[in-house]
Amino acid sequence: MDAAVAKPAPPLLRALAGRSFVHPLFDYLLIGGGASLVVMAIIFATGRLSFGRLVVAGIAIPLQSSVILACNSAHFAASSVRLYTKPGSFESLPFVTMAFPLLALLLLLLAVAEAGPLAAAFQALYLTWSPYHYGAQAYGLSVMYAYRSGCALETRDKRWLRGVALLPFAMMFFGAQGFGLSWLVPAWGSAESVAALRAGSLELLRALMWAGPPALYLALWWRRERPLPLISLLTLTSNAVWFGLMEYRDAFVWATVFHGLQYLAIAMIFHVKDQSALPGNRHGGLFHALRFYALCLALGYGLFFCLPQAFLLAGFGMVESMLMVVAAINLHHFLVDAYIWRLGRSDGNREIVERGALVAAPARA
Amino acid sequence: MTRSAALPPRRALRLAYRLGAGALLLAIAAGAARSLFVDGRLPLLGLNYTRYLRELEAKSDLAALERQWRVAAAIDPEARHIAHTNLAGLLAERGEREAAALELRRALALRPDHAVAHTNLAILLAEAGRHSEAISHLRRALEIEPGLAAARANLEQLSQLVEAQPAFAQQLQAQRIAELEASLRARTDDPDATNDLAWILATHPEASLRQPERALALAQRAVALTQRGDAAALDTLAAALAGAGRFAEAVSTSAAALAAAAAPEQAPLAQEIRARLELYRKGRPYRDPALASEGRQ
Repeated sequence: MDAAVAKPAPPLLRALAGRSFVHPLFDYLLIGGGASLVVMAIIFATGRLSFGRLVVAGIAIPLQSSVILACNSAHFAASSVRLYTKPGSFESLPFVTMAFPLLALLLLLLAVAEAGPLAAAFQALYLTWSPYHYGAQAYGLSVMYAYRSGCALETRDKRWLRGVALLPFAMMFFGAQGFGLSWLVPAWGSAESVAALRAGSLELLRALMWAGPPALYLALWWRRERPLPLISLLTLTSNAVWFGLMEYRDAFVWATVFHGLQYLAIAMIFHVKDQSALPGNRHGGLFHALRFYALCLALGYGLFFCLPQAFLLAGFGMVESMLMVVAAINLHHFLVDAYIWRLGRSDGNREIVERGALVAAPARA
Repeated sequence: MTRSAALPPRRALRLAYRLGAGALLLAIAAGAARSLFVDGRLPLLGLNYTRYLRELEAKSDLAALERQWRVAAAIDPEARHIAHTNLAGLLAERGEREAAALELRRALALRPDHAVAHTNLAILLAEAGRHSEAISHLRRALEIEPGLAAARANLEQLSQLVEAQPAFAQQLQAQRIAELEASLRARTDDPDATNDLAWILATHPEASLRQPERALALAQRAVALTQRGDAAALDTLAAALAGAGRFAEAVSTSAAALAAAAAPEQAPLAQEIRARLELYRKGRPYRDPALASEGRQ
């Protein structure tokens, strides 16, 4: 299909469904986060969630290493696999591909060796950044599906979408103890004089976090006289549900599983499309998908499970080794992610998103 | 250096990157080998480091365990309250009860809804004879986690003990005062004993047990011994001043105590001082209801 040929505006249902990458069910459930909402609904209807454990109808289902490896660890590794397998990345991103990993390794060594204020700052930084990263991913996916579905967003629309996507981060930033604002300004977390302000701002942010996505979706529909695809709303809502319904420690564990699945799915799609388009490619999409996931699993296992053992071998304790390795991988992942998902005009990502995309009718002011 | 000998920046960067990547792969392989040969299994640690700490506990490697909980308390904001609580357990086992109680108060300052920390602190308080405080911590623990068996059992046991008062309380009180007097005879510059005796003599609900003038002298000495930097000593001096009818001085001293109790782990004390300050502003002295049933240590 030629993306340059203008087509008539799609009917409402088609516009609402948007244009998927694989299949609407796959895109909505995995990339949009729909599956996570189903799981959350089951939990809240029949069971409860506690740190690292899901209890459904009285049966405790602990979060197993295998699930951590398959979703969380693999997803963190996926950004590196994507970076180093993306055609031309060494040439276009020398800092991210070569200099930054060395810097991250050096910081990791320093933090493990010192295990004091630097390590604490390293840990608090990654915990503070983490909800921002989730929010930014929700925003990125939302915009990506809008583009793909033929909705050209104006700068103002994107600014609003970003703001709404980052509301869960804002709530965590203002409400968390030990990281976020209470890390940067300790009095924010402990002083009684700001307790009312803290509680009030959290309530306000919580309300905005719930109301924001549907309100913005409807406002954009009203102004543009055409809806964004529902998956754009779903990605924002899923992220809000993870942080709004779960206590932070649970959100931290379980949202990473959901977010990891979402991330792996979209990264795999881009990887398969890139590799399939390479001249001389002789493999099918399934081969590239399986190879990508195998690489993510292997790297995830090596980094999260084996690397801390190397520090143990060098005489450090498991606590600092484990925590600092996790912090370093997270921070590396967050920064790499900020580069590899750019949709610049000259970037291959843009071509993948726009391939087969519907062409937007200009928005009405 | 000749021009041909210089390495172009990008080539140098690529070389450094390859060396770094090689070192990382070597470390990963070494880590896997360590786990396989030392622990007898592939690295499968799971969600966090707690399994490793349980193994240290099982091996009774308490020194390593304590170090690791201290590291966790220092760098992991998410698990800091758990680290303080577990560290308290180790300290209490070693008989360092004051240090253990401090760790538990730190845990509660971070996570006031940590039922296990409330329960463990209650046990330490009960052992120190501070039954009403212990009971309130146990009640709070059960409010947070109604199924916490240890909290329920301890609460029942303590309630039975307190019901046997007031004979028990009087006996306990006399014993406590005698202990403090003996302690002060042995070491006249002991700020804790000086402060504790001053508190009892200044704030006891029974008029016959109060000695305002001696309480004031002891409290002033405790403040001098702690160089006006200890919130509890300043709080006692404020109570003694109020007990002697010097409310304006009590208010300013209480405000100084409040300023000295700025650390997060002193939040509960700061809250108590604030309540007492309000009493002094109204021209009323403070009487410690806990002393009616126990000693304040």
